Amino acid sequence: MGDTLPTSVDERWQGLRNSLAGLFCASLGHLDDQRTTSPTLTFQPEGSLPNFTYPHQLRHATLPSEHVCTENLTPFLKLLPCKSLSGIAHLLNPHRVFDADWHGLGVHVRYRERVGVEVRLAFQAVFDPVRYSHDGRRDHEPLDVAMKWPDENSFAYREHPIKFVHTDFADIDSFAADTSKVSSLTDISVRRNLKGTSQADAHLTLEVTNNLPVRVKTGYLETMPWHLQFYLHTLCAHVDDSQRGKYQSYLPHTGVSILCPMWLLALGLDEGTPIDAALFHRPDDLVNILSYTPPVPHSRPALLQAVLTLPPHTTLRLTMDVSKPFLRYTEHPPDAQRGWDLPPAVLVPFAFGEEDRPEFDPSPSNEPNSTWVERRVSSYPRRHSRPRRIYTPVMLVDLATPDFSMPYNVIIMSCTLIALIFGSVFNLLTRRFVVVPVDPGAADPEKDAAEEVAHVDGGVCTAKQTL
Amino acid sequence: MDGNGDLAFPALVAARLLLAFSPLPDALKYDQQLSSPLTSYSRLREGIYLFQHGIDPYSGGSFRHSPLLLSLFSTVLPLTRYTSPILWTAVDSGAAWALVQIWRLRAGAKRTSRDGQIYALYLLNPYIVLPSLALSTSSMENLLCLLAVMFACRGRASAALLALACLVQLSLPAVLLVAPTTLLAITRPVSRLALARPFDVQGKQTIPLIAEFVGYSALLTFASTFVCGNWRWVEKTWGASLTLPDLTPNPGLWWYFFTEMFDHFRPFFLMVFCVHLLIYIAPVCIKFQHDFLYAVFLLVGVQALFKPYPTLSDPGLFFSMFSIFPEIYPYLRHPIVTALIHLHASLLLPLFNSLWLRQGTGNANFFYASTLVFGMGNGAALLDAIWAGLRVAIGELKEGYEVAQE
Repeated sequence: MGDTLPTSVDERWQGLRNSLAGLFCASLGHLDDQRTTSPTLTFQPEGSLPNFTYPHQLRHATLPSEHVCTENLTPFLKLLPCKSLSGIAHLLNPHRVFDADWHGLGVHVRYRERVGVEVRLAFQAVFDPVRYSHDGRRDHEPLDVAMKWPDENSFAYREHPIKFVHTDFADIDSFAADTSKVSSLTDISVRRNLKGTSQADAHLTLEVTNNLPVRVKTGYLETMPWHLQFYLHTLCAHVDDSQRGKYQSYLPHTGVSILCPMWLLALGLDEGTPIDAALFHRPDDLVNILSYTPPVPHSRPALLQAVLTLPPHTTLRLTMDVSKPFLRYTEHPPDAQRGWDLPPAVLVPFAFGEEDRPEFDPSPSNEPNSTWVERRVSSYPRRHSRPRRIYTPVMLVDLATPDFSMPYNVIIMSCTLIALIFGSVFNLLTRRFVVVPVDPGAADPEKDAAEEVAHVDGGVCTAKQTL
Repeated sequence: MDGNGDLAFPALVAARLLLAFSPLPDALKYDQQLSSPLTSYSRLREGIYLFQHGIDPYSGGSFRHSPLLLSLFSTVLPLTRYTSPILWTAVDSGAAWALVQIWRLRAGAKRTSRDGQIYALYLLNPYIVLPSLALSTSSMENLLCLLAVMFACRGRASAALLALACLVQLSLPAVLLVAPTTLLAITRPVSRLALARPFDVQGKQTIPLIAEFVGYSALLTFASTFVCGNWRWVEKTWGASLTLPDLTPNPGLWWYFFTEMFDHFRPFFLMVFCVHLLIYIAPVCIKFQHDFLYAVFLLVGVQALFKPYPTLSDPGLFFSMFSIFPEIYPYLRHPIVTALIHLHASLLLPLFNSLWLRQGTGNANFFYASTLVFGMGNGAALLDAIWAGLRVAIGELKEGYEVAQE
């Protein structure tokens, strides 16, 4: 960003996203103020930081939809000695990898003490082997290629998780045959959807399922552009389809809202029994809203940060009424009927179980996959590792559209109506009322008209009462 | 007949209360014709919720109610499933009572045979009942408006101006009513449409009253600022009436015009629309200086027609106020046409709104067209009222004569 560093955080944030946009040929430059928020709970600074309680600011923005470009991979290939011509980099063929069912690109930068600035570039893709095989075979051997650079002295990088995962769908038939015995694939699964047929209001639902036998506390971050506005007072929590009533929330006052996540961070987010008492209004409440920033149309997105408590083996369902705003006709994008993509919600599980909790028995039990569960519970990140984040899929909201061909017609018709009424009122208020004699017996229209003029002329003179 | 009037009021209030506790209000909660962004109950609840949790509701863009309502409902009167319907029924009943008081003062009688009819015309007017069932705060604006007029009719200028100042806090376009209400407070409300002789009003008499109004307004403004702790509410509540930031459809003329407006013309047309509202005050007050109650009535009509965020209850108030001017009925210009346009529009409005936003089989132009028809109906009613108010002075005509304008 040059020698003259911009001073404010927002200027530097703008510079960062513009440089990233240029570097990766992606529309990251669109992450403007309408999409940028400063969540405090979900994203913790990583790497070697001088002092955690030091005042810091954080910027977060999500671009929910992006068209791929073969140039997206260029910054990766440029760093490789032989570009994509040889070696495992051969696999970084843009036409091939962007054809995958799912792919992800990642750039992680962090500062590590006595090491320097570490840049981690990651590319992941999920391929469907059935789609690629010519004869529709499903019995492929799973191909799992993890690559490490040959010699860490030769390159200035330490970690290189460029990983191609070849998923295995071979046992899909057994899945379909007996689903009751199959344990869920993930510890925590989350679904978010928007219900309602109206283009003026809708119903937002978030379903979080905890498949673990322990209670899980998870941070919940919702960054919503102003294209969907929450009615927070309608937020309801249901556990396994039984309503818990209107939840109690603890929303700290403005000054405290900055501090609260600090306490969380300073005390460590896991196993925080003392934090419970300090933060949560009622410990048995499942939803605790930590902070909420209402959206400002045309400028600022809404930011909702909450802590959800998921009892073991349950589904927590949050429902909330939302309203959809109406935009000016110039604010709609091309192909406005497609709707607007909304960024994903982020869940960060940070506390698993409680030591004094009787229902959590760490010893092997009749649970069929208890060791597996245990392993997964224990493998969850603890204090100093990076918490895992779960993103929901993006959502599409269809906003009501005006007729884009109508501006002139609308201006003309509305102005005509107003002018008509104004003119008539003006006419009634300014001209005097007079009584004129009319001849009801007149038959000849020409004569009648002529007479009427005469009568009107005379009428003014003979007016009995005027106002 | 007296017995009828006495019985009618409790019966109507009971029926109204029954309706309020029926499942109907839930279905009407988000209806855009019944509550605008400035009067919506859901937004009010949201604002109170945020306020009670220490978030400034005016820092966002959806809460646009007055801080007075915010402080009232977050402290004294909590809004719950049971208190809200009762409160809104009480507000409607109070407004109907005020309307009957105005009629009695105008007729100069303690009790008349038309009392029951007037109660019914207010409490059974669908334009008033439906927004009130949807718990739109426009019902409170109607109450304050009628209370201000009632106190002005009684000659209690201070009470009238206080009610009016509260009304202006809730809805800025109500400044239209300041001049005629002040003048009404220093004259009498009796019908002088047929006499058409101006009151002997000294201009000086109004100056202390206007100063009093300004004083009340300043007091309420500072109270609001005290509640919020900052001045941001001014931009969110009054500013919304001037800059139209929320383009949610309503039965008025502004929303689609400014949805479709070119960005570089927007400030100009906003200015034109705002000034256009103010243009009517002086001519109406001058022309009807013999009957300021009638001037108030006409300006209520103008406001209902050209307000930035009208709901159905604004024209509803105008139509219910027709009931206190029975002397103009024989002279309405085109009552049948006006009634038919209104019937047409009131059927089209919900239908086309639903076609556009729920069924998806219509587009925005459908609803826009029905708001134009509705505007035409309101305009026709306003013109009818002005015509009749002036025509009534000429009285019955002999055969072979007609009234024309110079």
